[in-house]
Amino acid sequence: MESFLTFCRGPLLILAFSVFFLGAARQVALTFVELGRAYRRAGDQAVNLKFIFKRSLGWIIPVNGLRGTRWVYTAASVVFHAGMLLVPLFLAGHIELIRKGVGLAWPSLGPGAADALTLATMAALLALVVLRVASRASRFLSTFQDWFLLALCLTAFLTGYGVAHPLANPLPFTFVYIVHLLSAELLLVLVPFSKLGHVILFPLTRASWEMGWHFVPGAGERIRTALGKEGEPV
Amino acid sequence: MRNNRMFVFKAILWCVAGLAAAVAVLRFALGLGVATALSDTTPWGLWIGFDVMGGVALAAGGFVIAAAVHVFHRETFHAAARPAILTAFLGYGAVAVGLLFDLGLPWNIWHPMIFWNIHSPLFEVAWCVMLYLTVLALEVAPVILERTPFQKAYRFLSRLALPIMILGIMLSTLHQSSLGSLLLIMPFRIYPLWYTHLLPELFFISAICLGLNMVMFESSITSWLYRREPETKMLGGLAKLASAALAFYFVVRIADLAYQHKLGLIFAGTWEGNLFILEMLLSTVLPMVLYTLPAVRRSPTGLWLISMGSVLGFVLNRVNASGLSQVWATRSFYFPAWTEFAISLGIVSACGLIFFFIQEHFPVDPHGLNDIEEQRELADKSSPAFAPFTQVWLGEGWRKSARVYSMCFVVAMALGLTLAPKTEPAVTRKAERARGANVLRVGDGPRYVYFDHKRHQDEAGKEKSCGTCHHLHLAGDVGTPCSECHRRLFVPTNVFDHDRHVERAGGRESCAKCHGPGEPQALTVMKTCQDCHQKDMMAAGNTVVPAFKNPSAASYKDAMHKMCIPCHVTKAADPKVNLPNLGRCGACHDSGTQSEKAYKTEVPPGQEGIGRT
Amino acid sequence: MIQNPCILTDVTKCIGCEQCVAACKKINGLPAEDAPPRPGNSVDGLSADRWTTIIRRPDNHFVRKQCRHCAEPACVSVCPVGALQKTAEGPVIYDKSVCMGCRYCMMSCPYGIPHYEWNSAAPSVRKCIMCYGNMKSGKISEPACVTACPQKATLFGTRDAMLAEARKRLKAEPGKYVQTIWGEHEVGGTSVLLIADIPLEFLALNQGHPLGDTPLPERTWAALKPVPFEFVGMGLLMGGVYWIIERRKKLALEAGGAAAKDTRGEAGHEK
Repeated sequence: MESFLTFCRGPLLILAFSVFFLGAARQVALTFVELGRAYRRAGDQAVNLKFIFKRSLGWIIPVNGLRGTRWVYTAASVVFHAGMLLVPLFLAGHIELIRKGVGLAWPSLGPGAADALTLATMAALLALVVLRVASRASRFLSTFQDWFLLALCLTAFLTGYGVAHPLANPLPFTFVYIVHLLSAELLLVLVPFSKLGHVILFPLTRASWEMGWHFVPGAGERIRTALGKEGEPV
Repeated sequence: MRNNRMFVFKAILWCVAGLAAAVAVLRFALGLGVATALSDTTPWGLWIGFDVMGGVALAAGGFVIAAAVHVFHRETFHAAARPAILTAFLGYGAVAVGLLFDLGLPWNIWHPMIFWNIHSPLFEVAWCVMLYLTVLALEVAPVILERTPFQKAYRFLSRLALPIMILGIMLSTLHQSSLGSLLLIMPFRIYPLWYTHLLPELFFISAICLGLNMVMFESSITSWLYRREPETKMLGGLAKLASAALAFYFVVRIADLAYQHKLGLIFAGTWEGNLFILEMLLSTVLPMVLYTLPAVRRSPTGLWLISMGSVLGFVLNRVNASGLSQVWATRSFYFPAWTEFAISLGIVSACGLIFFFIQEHFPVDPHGLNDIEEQRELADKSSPAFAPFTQVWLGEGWRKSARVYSMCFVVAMALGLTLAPKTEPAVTRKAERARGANVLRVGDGPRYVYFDHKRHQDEAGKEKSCGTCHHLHLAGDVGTPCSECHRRLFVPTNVFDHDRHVERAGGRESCAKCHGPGEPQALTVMKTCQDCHQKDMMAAGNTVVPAFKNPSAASYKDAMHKMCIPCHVTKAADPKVNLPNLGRCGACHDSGTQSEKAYKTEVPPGQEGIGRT
Repeated sequence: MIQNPCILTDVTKCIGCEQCVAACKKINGLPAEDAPPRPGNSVDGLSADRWTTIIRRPDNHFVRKQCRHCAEPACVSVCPVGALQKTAEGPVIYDKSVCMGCRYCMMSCPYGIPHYEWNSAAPSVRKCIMCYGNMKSGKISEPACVTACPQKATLFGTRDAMLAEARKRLKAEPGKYVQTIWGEHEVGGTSVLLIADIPLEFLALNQGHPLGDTPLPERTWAALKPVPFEFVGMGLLMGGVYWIIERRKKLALEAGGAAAKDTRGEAGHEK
């Protein structure tokens, strides 16, 4: 158990980070290649960069969403995303791990704030799950990936909380620690290969979405013709 | 139909390149010591022996074919000219890149341009390689430019072709032989079978032989990969030529050995002698004889195998001369670390990928290019592939390949970063200077102990007991660490600072104060901690005592975690102490501002226990 | 600083106390504690942090090893950029700002003297420089190792004076010493001389065989001298062959006249 823990904290962690960074770089590069191709093919080549920027900002700070009908969903989502970003990045223990590995360090969250944020994130996550189940449309659109990633996030946070509070944790410490490491590493590895990719591709998705509007009308029909699937729904 | 053979081959090359990229990161960040198995006795390893010595020789096909086709007008070999020159260009590029890895201060690689030392063969090699790389670039440029709008430049360079070719041949003559001159300074390192005053001449002749074989090998493998008819007629002609060149090489080499009265060494049955026989058989004798048989010259498979053998044999010759034959003098066997192999293979892979790219996009071989373009059009028309899990359209044609290749590269690089060593290998805790010396160095620091080799040997079983301690095939084994047998002397602890105790007790003469006069290595007569520290740490009620009575002292971590934490936790629960965070990691571990917070925060009464949850 | 400085070590007087090593480390700012050795490094104890060392031989013989400062150093001759230089006075010194790290010097040294900083990302070659900088500036008058020796086992002076001293000692006690001055003629002569009561061939990387008296750089220079002629010669040869074949073809074409019109023409490759 102890040696497996060492393995999880050492080589496996390096592997997870390597896959995360390299895979992310690969996705960004490929997206740029595809964007460039789409740009060359698009009928209207004037791309409104300002508009893309505005829209991206609008998605990051969803003020409008809070006023709308689904304000609970928006609020939960904002809290969840904030927690997902802040807790792993600014937890003192994580910073210590990184400082030992590559010598970089930055200020950390206090333990109280970290605890509060962790609990808030988990609550928001559960709220998101409930909303997803409650809404008919979301339930039917959800794939295995959606459920699995939510479960994985919950595991990582729950075990992380267990590791930070060993005395309140009924399970064996090492076991919880290993589960925490494994789930977090799996999350990192999955970023470049699943919908978690929006962590890095977020601004680019806006760009490609924007690019889509610049194709000449009827471009989709032509693709269908080229594929020999006229009249079928895509 | 898609050429799956090529697809798989390229995917493998991308994987190797990814692995090499990971090693490259570590080599430049942490230095040669971490990334290689080189040592002060073997400062040149695989990267010089294979990448530079072998690489330059492998690229000899360029000048040999250029001479045959353009100077001697052997039009039959014309089809091989452009691929051979392209290979030479990439080969020299690989040599330059390989040197960047091998040089300790690679950013100074341009220094030979301004700091001159005409007495150094390496200086000459550096200049020739620089100039020849430029010449090769000019030779390759027309191939790239032929079907581009830059027709003026193309025509200009084509008109210059002949003088450039001849300049290239002149430069090649010089540095192919200079690589031999490089080794002339080390008669004391190189085994007599390889050391001769004719090294430069032998290197030049063998480069010609190797060049011809390399052209044959490369032509065969390209036709196999692209599923084309092999150019049997041209290969047959090359084989005839190669046979003659090999015969000349054989005669010169053996005559030289005979003149120096060294022929006896070949069949002396030594390791070096057998290596010599293997090298000569593979590189020279077998191909020389087999190429004369018409049946062999007509068989593409036969030519492929024999030329590959010969190429390997000549690379072995370079590796032998610059490395393996020197084990004799240095007495330390060097085997390259896997990271060194990764870089070497990675450079070769990258060259292969560039070679295929140019082959597929520029008229290196015009007929072949037409086939490839047809295939590419077909692939572009096929329907795009879809990846279900990521919900992405993979795109069609080359974009699909690009996704797969980049995936291979990324995964291999991540694996490489994980597996590559992060610290310099060191002979740690291994006993040194055991042979004939009574003083033995142990441990990382300069810690010396008295070691009676004879007594150890006698007690372990006289003459036959060597194997008890030596040659146990442990990592970095020189002698067996004392800890292998005297386990209790090496208790897993750093609570006990031996050096500091020695210092306080009065230096080297004080050993007997603790270890007892007779048997320094036995624990039975050794003093225990409480013999001296009765007052300060062995007071009644101290939880530490049981651990220190254990002959294997607890490690620092165990001591702190097992003995301190329970008390911390109890105190944290005590409202009178009013330090609710005392039981948390941050109370002792310094993590920026957190430690102070965790330890010092005053919590109003009534809320104790919150921090402890 | 004196011209042609030289260190003479009398192995019979050395007691192996390693005061010279300590003094060397101190004056050159090297770490007092040796780093753990790399696998594959030689067992003589020299390293990038230890420029002189004492080799323990059987029966309490202590042999000091250090750079020999050859009269015609192989390391200087092979350095492609001249980072290693033989100074006008004699000691062989190193300039990191010029070095590119090819390690040819380490390969070419018959005594295996230059050592490398393997664990550095910007490594240098390290070896004894006979305290050149400190002696040149007048800070010390003799190398630190010589000053430190409590037994006067290692002496300093001009090469001629040291040779005379060595000969005097060999003559005075012919039964005690092996009648050789190691370094007098070896590879063209060195500026570090040793006299001993045991053979010292083991100091060189030559399997205990003598290295010979020819300076090593001569071996390469013999091959390098004709290089310009080879270069021009090859050019003339290739140009000549091309010209002859081309002319023969032209003549054949003219002789064949109209009958040979469908031959492939000259220089078919340039179409």
